[in-house]
Amino acid sequence: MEQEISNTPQDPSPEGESGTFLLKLYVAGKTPRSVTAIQNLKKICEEHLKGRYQLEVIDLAHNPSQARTDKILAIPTLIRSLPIPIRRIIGDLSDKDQVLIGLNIENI
Amino acid sequence: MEPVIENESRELRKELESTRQKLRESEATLEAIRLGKVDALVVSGEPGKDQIRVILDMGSLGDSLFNQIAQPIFILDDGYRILRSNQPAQELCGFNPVGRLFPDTVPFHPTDEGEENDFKDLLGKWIAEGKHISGLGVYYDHPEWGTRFYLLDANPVTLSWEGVQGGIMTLMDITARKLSELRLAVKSDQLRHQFNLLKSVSDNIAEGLILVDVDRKIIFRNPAMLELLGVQEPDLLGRDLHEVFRVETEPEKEPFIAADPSHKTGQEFVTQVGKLMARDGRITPVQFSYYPVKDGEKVRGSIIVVSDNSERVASERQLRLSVEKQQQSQKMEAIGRLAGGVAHDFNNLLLAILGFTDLSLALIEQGTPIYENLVEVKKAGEKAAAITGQLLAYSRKQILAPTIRRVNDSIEDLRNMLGHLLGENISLQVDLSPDPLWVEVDQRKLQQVLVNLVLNARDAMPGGGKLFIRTGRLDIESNDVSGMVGEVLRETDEGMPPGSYAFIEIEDTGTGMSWAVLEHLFEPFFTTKEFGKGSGLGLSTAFGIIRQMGGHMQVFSQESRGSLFRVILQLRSRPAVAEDAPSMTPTDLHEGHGRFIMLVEDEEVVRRLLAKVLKDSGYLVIEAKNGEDALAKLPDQNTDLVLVVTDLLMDGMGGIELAERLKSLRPGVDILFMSGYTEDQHKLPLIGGESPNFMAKPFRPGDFLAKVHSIIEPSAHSARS
Repeated sequence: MEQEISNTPQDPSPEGESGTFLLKLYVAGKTPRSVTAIQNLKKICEEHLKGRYQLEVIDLAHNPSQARTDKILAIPTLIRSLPIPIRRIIGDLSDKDQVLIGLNIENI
Repeated sequence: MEPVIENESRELRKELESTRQKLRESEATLEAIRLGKVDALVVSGEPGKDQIRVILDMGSLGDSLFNQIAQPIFILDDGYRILRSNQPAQELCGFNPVGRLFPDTVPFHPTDEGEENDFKDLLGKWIAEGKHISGLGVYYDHPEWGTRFYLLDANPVTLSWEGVQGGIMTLMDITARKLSELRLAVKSDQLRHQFNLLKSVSDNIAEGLILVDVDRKIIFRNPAMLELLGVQEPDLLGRDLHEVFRVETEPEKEPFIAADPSHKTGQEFVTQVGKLMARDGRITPVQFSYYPVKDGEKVRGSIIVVSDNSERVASERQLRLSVEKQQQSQKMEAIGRLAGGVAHDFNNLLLAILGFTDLSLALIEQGTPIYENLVEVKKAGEKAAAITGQLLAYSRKQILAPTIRRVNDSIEDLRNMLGHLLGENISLQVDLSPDPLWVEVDQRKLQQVLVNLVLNARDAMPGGGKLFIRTGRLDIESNDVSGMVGEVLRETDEGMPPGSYAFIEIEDTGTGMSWAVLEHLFEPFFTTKEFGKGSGLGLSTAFGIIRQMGGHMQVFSQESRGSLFRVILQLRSRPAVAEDAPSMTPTDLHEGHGRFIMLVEDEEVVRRLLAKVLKDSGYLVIEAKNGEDALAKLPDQNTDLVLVVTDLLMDGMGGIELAERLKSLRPGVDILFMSGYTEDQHKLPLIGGESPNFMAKPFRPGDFLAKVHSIIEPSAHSARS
């Protein structure tokens, strides 16, 4: 399963415009933590990054080799590709504060 | 600072920061895994073959339960990789085995031998094939705990929400139970071994063995017991001992202890003899030995051992018979010696009585009253001599003239006479062996025996009957007499040595004899006849004669059914020429011609008689009362001493010693021995290689003179005869 969630009307340039978040959530099928992680991440994004984020959910159950791109070891793992530096958060993202700190959203 | 160096320094700082960041990320990943924040791992493989491993999430309650269970539990994915393990499982492995492959981590082996391959196959397939494993016995050689035994349960389960398969494996430690089972198995093996040993003993012993409970119900019996009871089928078990055992105890009417309900079980060891009757009616003399079976103090039943006593009873009977025979034989021997002794002394006296009577008669004119009186004295003396003769025959001290003859000859010779003896109301049936059976006998004595036996048979049949006379051959292979046990039997001696014999049987259909009569049958003067009708010497004489001839006698008798006398004589080989009995030569008086004869005799009356007889015939007699006396009175060499007549046994020096002395003192002088004991003849030394001259007392003066003369003048004697 692969889905792309985007709420950025502007061109989401790969370099990342200032303020635009490029997020990848790696899951494996419908394991409980994967499902919870997707729900939690969507909520946080709507609350704190509305209009300036692009989210890609990558399901490794069907293509495990995709894990190599971002050196994924555990599932679920969230990767913030932009803005750099790349950040990764492991777990179901249920601790919202930790997620915000991890994504460095407070600084924006 | 120069710009180049500054740039490099910046690059290095950036690199260091990046490495630190990676390290932080790795630590964070591990921490997340440790804290259970993830539910799947990416396992790197060959490019394109990476795998996702789902981690089972059981929630906090599940986790708590999982760790509290005392049994080791492993959760495996479909690649048999350990996803979760509880505390006991980690203790079993000695480390946390998560991520490792099963069963390499814990190498189990099947408990049952020979299933190693099947076992590995099973453990490698159960998840993929969806197999449930239940209670599979396994063991594991733990490096610290030693060998542990487990029951393995394994069930395939769906681990994820998209059908990913895995399995839960639990182990139940049964080491303690298994060890006690093993000990039990060893023990039961020993017990089985002991049982087999005991069974083999009980199967093979000759004694019957029976085990009863406290109610005397049979709970065990061995094959020998079935044999004794004549039972083939195993129908004794559970039955009452009293119903099964038909027992006759000894002494009679004593209760059979083992089966007697009034007898308290638990009483100590008891033995009892008796007879056991088998179902087929066979009766076995047995000994019962009875032992209580106790479990501590409590009596559980009893063992009865039944030993077959047949052989012992038979051998005891044989021993008793043999002892009786020996006693009988000794008794007969003693009686024989007594009779012989009496006869000897009487003979000396009779010799004197008859001798002096003869001498007196020669002096008196016939027809005078004294002459007639002396004739009566002489008749009575001769009768007395006949009795002593019979006694001597009984004591086997007669002079026999044995020749080798056919046993049938003696019967044929008697046949005519027997007709007269038996009378009209007794029929005679003679059945003679067709084979010529050669025996060495004194023909006249044997006939005397047969006449005695026939007369006895006749007297046993006052109302008439049948008399059978048979001859035949008898081969005896051993001294065994058991074949005769059960019949009323009297044997005359301790048994016959093995060999070939001829027998003569005289059987009647008369009154028979009781055991009491048989016991004394051959004793002299024993008679069942009225006083004055029998001397009681007939059978004892017959017995003595047969024994002296080296033969045997057997008697079989049953009261009111008759008796059978059997004379048994050793078989001889056929002689080259049949001998005839030597005939007696009539004797006459001879003249002494004034020659000297020395007469040595301790019995004065005999010495006086013989001296008178010799003197009357013209001999000069030197009388001496024993050997010493004779040597003292021995005349010088010039005296014409032609003969020494000497008794054998005397007070002082006897005849044999005297003869020895005379051999050197008077080498040319003949010696005539006399004795009342005929067997003394055999003790005499050979003189010049020939049998010595011998006369058995009593003898008539005429016979004495004839003998003396035949010694002094052998040629003249033979010319006359």
